[in-house]
Amino acid sequence: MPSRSHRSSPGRRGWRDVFLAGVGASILALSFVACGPGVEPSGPDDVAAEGAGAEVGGGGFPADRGCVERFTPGEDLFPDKAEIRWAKGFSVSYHGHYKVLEIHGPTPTRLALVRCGAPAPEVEMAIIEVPIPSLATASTTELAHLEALDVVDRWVAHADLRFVSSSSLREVIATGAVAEIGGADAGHLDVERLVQAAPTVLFVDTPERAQSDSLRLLGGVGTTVVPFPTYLEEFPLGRTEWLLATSLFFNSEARAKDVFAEIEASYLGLKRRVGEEAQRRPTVLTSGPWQGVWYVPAGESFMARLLADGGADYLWSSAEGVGTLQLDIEAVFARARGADYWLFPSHWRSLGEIESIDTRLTRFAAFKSGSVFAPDRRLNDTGGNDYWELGVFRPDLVLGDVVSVLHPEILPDHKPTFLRRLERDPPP
Amino acid sequence: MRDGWKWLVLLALAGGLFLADLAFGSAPVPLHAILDGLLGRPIEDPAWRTIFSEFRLPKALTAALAGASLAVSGLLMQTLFRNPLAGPYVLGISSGASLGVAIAILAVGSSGVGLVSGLGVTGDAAVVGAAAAGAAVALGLVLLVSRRVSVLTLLILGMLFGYASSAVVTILLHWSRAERIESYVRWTFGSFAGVTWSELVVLAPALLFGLGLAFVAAKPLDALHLGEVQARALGTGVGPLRTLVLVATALLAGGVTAFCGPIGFIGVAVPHLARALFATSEHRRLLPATALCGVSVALAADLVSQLPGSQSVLPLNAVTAILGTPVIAALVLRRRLENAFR
Repeated sequence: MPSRSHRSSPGRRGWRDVFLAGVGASILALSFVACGPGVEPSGPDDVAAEGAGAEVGGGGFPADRGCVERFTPGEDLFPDKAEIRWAKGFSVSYHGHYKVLEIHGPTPTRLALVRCGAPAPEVEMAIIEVPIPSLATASTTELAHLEALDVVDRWVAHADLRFVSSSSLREVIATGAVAEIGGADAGHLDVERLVQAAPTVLFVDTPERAQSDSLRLLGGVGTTVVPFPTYLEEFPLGRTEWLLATSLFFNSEARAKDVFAEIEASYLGLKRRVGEEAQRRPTVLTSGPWQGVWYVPAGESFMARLLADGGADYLWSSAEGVGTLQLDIEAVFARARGADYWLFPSHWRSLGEIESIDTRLTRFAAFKSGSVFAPDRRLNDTGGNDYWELGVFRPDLVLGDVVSVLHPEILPDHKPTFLRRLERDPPP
Repeated sequence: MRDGWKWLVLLALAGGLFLADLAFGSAPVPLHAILDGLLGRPIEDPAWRTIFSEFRLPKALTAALAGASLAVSGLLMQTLFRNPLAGPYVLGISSGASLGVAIAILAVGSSGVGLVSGLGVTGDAAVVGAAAAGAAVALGLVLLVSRRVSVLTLLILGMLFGYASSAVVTILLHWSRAERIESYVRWTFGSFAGVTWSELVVLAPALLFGLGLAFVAAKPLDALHLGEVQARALGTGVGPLRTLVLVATALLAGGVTAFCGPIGFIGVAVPHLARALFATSEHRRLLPATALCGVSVALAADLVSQLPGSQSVLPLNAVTAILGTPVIAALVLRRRLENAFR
């Protein structure tokens, strides 16, 4: 299955707080800061809070947006500049008083983000004044950005509120500050509610949504639809790096760079340790079959890279492409029957469930030895799985889980965040 | 027997394709291992053994049975409705099954309890059950009214049921997340590879029984082919025959759809292939010919969809139609279609 499709699962909540205790100190601090409106934003990097005394209260927009009062042509209004190293889905260039965000992929888009107070540049693209007062999201994959950048109070609408995992975001939702624009399990966004919420920008995940006719109407009410196809990124850190794309809208590049650098260091450090210390590379199989076809991540995909970085011998690592291979179940069996581990197996939550789907799946060595691990430790009670929210943003945590499974000797005291060994019966 | 060589060719073709479907697949298994398996000798390599006995054999048997079943049920419908465009799904069986599956994947999957899963994909067993239930509901409705209305009315009702259920499916799709829509769409692609032995022991008897019913009905079907009024004049009990035909079709088409997805084309096209080959409308010959052609077409489609030599697969429904269309168009053009329905 394509990786963008896994975003939710049923289950329970409450793990976030447990988890928070175990995360690195700086991330922890950021999370606290982001715990919702009413908490004073900190840090000199936050342009929104820069200048006259930084106010954020009760979810309202700060009186001072960080607008320039006197515009001098040629002045560089964005001293902190984002540089993109991993992500291939967007790029940014700076032009004094405005910056151009270019989104690549299926729905190429160019946006001029002009520092508020400065004149609009003469460019043939949509122009948005930044920092923006409000935004709406359509996928859980960007939600971690709101907390990391401390802009939760600008969040006015989201597609499926049920699938939001973060406890601090759920608290915000509970106050009624966030409109649900997807309705129950909707593939389509509710344009009328969007118009009512009137976000300055709407981040959408899939090209189907970005190109939907109804969303074009939003232009008329001052909402710009911004494609955010993070799921297309090939590198785990590439997905995280979209934090910088989000930060452009809030002029908080400096803060985003700090957060990203921390996650990057954590991920690369672990990857390096695996490279140095791993004795062997166990073979790994992923995903699962549907109607006789096994949808396997290709060799240059996000999943293949994550597994390779975690010290796995991913069995399809030589298959070209960044997407998904549609393989005959027989071919998967022939290659992977002896695989040591079966990680991220479709959506299943117990060995019994796997057996009931297709008895042939019990023939895999990883099934027989009980070496099947699924990322379902952090489910909320309304169908959300934090793996598709926090996990997308924190590949270092996912990598840690993978390493602890494949190479327990490297991380002997690791407490897994997402991955859980499947038992005969589903968890209670 | 007339056309003896044609039967031989058909049998040889079906047999050959069956063996080819066993021998060629995505995983390289040497021919001698397949031969050992066929002759009941132990296959030394455990992986080859499993591939042969648990992947290829059930798949080839499913393809053969499903091909015969769809083709025969298509023929039954074409005769019953005296309409060359009729097929196994005119009674709304496929619509009913699709509705059942759509509810299982899209609606139940989203409720957040029970069968649900993160992906919104329910288990294969649940899908089979839902498809069978949907097909049974469609058939029940048809049987309920079939005694009271003409076949033409039945045809229209089946069509209406199809529209109504596809409308409900559309609503479910509209409200569903992309990944669930994807699962549903993939189900509609059709596949023989998802059927395991434990499913085949349920499917095979149902299909064989349905085929048996069809063959029992072969002789009276000739009378029915002339039209219900003429059949009555010839002393054929039209009411019971109609019920028999409907039940057989439901078992055949409903069974295949439940386990393999809605496989199109074979049911409508293969009866024409058989008619063209044998230039007959006599059901005692047409039925076995249709069944054999169905076996061959389904096996050939499965072979191609597995893309031997590569690990990838093509959607079965696309293969049946792309491969079959030119062949059958050519045959039908050579032998005027309408002659068969005069």
